[in-house]
Amino acid sequence: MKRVVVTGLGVTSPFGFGVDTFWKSLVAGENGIRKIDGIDPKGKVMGVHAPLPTIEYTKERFPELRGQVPEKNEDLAFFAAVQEAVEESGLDFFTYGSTDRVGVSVSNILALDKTHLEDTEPLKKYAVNPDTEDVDLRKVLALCHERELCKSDPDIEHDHVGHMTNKAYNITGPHMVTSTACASANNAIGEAFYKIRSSRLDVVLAGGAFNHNYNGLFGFSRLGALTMNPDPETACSPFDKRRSGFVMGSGCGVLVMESLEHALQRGAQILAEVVGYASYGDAYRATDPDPEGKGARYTMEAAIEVARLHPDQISYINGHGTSTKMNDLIETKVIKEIFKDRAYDIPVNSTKSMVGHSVSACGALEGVACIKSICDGIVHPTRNWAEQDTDMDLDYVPGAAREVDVKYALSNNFGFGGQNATVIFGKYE
Amino acid sequence: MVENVYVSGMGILSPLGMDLPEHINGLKEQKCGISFTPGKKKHQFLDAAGYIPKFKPKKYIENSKSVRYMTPQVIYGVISANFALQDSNITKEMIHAAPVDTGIVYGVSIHMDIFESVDIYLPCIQEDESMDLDLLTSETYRYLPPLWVVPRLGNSVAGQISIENAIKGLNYSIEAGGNNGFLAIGESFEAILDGRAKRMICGGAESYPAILPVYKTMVRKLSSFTENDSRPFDSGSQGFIMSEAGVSMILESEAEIDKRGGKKYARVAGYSNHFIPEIKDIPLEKLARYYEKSMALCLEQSNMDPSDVDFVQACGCGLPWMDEAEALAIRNLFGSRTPVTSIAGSVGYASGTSGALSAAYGLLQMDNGFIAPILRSETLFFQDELDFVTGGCREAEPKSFLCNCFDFIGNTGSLLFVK
Repeated sequence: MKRVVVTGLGVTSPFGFGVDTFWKSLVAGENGIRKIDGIDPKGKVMGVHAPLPTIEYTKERFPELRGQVPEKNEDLAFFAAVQEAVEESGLDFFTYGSTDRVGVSVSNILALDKTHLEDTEPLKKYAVNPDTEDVDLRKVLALCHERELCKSDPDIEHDHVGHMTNKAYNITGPHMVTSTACASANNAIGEAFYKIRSSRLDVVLAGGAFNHNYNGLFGFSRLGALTMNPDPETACSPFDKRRSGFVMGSGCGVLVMESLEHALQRGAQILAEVVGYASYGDAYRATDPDPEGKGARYTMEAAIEVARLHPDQISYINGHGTSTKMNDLIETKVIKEIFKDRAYDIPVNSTKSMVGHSVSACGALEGVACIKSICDGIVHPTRNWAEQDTDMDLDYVPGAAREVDVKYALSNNFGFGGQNATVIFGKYE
Repeated sequence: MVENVYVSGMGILSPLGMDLPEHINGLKEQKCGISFTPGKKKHQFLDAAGYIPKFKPKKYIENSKSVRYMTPQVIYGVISANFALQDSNITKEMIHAAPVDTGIVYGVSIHMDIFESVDIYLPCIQEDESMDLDLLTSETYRYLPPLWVVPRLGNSVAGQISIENAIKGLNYSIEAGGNNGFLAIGESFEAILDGRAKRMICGGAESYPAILPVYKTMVRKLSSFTENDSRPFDSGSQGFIMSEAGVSMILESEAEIDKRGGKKYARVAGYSNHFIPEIKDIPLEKLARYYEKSMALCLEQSNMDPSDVDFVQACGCGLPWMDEAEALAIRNLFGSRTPVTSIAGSVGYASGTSGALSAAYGLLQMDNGFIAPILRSETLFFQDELDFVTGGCREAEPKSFLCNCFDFIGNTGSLLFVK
C-alpha cells in the first residue's frame, strides 16, 4: 500500500480567490456570509448566503482553457481553484496528464440557475397544454429547430468543473464525481486516497465545488434545514445554543493528492499526508441523522483504524458543524463517545461558521483548513460561539484562533440521506 | 486480500420487463421494448422511447408509505436492488447481522427535472437574479411539499436503498456522465478487492426522459425520436433512443459466496475507466485508439488475450461517430473472430444506466447460453470485417465477455466478466 500525500491546494471561497485569502480570513474569524442582494427577506425562506466571488475571463489569466470560455461564471471561479492547486504542486499536468496515471475526482452538484429555468419557460408556454399537461413533441422539436431555448450552451459537460479540468490539462485517467450531498467532497478525497493507496493511480486532483442554487435555497428552506435568521452576523452559529439551521455557502476546494513515492521522485514540496478515510451509512431517514449517531461513530472510528492511529493521537477535529440543532448535537455526542475524557481537550471547530455550508464543496474547503492547521500550527475559531447548549460542552474554539501543534486532523462530513465520510490528514514526517 | 469478486445476483427493470425470465425471453425472441407510438402525456411524450412497463410500486417495496416520497428513478433503483437481493438469496437477516459489510455504489445521471419547478421558481426570480421572497412565500411556496428536494438529490437512490434494507456500509453515488451505473459496478469491484466491503449493491437508475434533457440531446443531435433513425453501428443512424431502466447487481467476494452457498453468475475479471478530453475534436482513428486502449487495459488486468473473449457486449448506442470508432477499435483488437452485439436496438439508451444494463444483459446471455442479436440495424460499420450478431439469436456457450460503455462526454469504461 502506498502512502498518499498532498502537494498542492487551491480555494475559491466567499472570501475571494486563493488559499491565503481563505486561511487568513478563517484565522481572523471573518464573516463571509451576506444578505442576498436586492431583497428584503420576509417569510419562511432564507435571506442570507455566502456567495462566490466574481471573476472575469481573460486569455492571459486562464491560458489552460485555450479560449473555451465557460458558460457560467461559477465554472470559471471553480477552475481558478484547480489552477491554483496545479501551480502549487509544480507538476506538469499537461505532460503527465495523458499518461493515464492521473485522475480527477471533484464532486460538483450542478447549479440550477435562471438560465436553465428560462430555457424551460418556452416549453411550458408553447409545448404544454396547461389544462391536461400533455406535451406536444412537435412543438418541442420546433422550438429546438428555432433554437428558441438556446439561452444556455447545450454542451452540458461544460457545466462540470471536473470535465473542464480533464480537458484543460488533457487528463486521460478516470473522471470521478461522487455524490453524497453534504459529504460529497470528503468522499471525493477519500476515493482518490484509495486509488493512489492501491497503486491504481499516481496523482488525483480531488475536491469539491458548489454554488448555492435555487433548488437548494427553496428546497432546503422547505425542509426546515436553513436558518431563518436574516442577520448575516449571527445567522450561522455552529455548536451554539442559538443555532437555528445552516446558511448556504459556495466555493471550491482542490487538493493535488499523489503517492509519496511519486512526490519524492519529482522533489515536490509535501504539505501533509492523507492517512485515513472511511464512509458508512446511517440507514435511518433521508432527512434526519440517526439520533444515536451510530453511522457517524462507525465512520470516525473506521477512519482512525484505517490510519492505524489511536483516538488519543488526534490533535484537532474540523467538525461538520452545520449550525443545525440535530447535526451539532449528534456530532458532539459521537466525539464524546469515541474520545471519552480526552474529547474535552481536543479543539473542535466549524469552518462553516464563516463560509456557510457549501454542500458538495465543504469537505474540500475544510480539508484545506485542516492542512493549513497542520502546516501553520493554528486552528481557526468557530465564529459566533458564545452560549453553551445542554450536553454540548466541548472545546469549540470560541473567540480567536489558537496555536495548536496539529499532528493529525480529523475532518467530518455527514450528508442528507445518512451518508457519512471522515478524512484524516497528518503532518508529513 | 480479496482475489476474486463475483456477481451473485441481479435485478433489472427495463423496457423488456421486470423479472429475469422476461428479459431472457425478450433477448432470445428479439423483442423490442421501445415504444414507437406517438406520445402525448407529460411523462411519455416521445414518439420513440423505451419505457418500463407499468406496475404498482407498493407491490415491490416493503415500506409502502415511503413510496410517496420517491421519484420514479428512486423507485426503479429500490425495486431493482430488492430483486437483486432476492436473486442472490441474501436475506435481510444476513445484512442485519453485519450491516457495515454491505455497501452501495450507484450511478445516476438525470435526477433533477426542473420542469415542475419552473412555475414555482421563475416568477420569484428578479432581473438581477435575486429572489422575490414575498412572492415566493405568499404565492408559490405552497406548491413545494416539505420533502420536495430530497428525492431530487443525486444520492437519493443509494440512500433510499440503504434505508429500505438497513445497509450501513460504504455508500456513495456517481454522477460523472453517461456511464455512471457502469462505473458503479467497476468501483464496487475495486472496493471489495481493497477489503472495504464484503458485498456491494451496485448499478444505476434512470426514469422517463424529461423534457429538458430531451431538448438538450436534440439540439446536440445526439438523440433520435423515430423508429428508423436509431440503429446501433449503422451508418444511417441519427442518434440514440432515450429510455428508462433500473439495474442492480450484487457483487461479493468469493469467500462470502462460498460461505453461504450463493450463485456465481460470473467473476469480474477486469475494469478500466478513462476519459477522452478532446472527444469532440478528434478523428475517427484516434477515438478508436482510445476505445481500443480501454478494452486492452481491461484484458491486461486479468492477463487475458483478446482470443479468450467469447463475445463483446458493445456500447453501440446509435451515435454513428461513436459507433464507427467502437467498431474500428473492436476490429483492431479482436479481428473478425469475436461475436459483437449491442442491446440499444431493443431497449434504447437509458443514459447513466445504459452500461449497467448492457453488463446485466451480457451476464444473462452468458448464463443462458446464447448471444442476442443487434436489432434494427442494416448496414453496419466494418460489417465484412466483424462478426456482428444480426438476424437472429445465436446459440453459444460463452465463458467470457467484454462489455463497453462509452459516453458522448468522454467517459470511457470497459468491464470483463468470466464464467
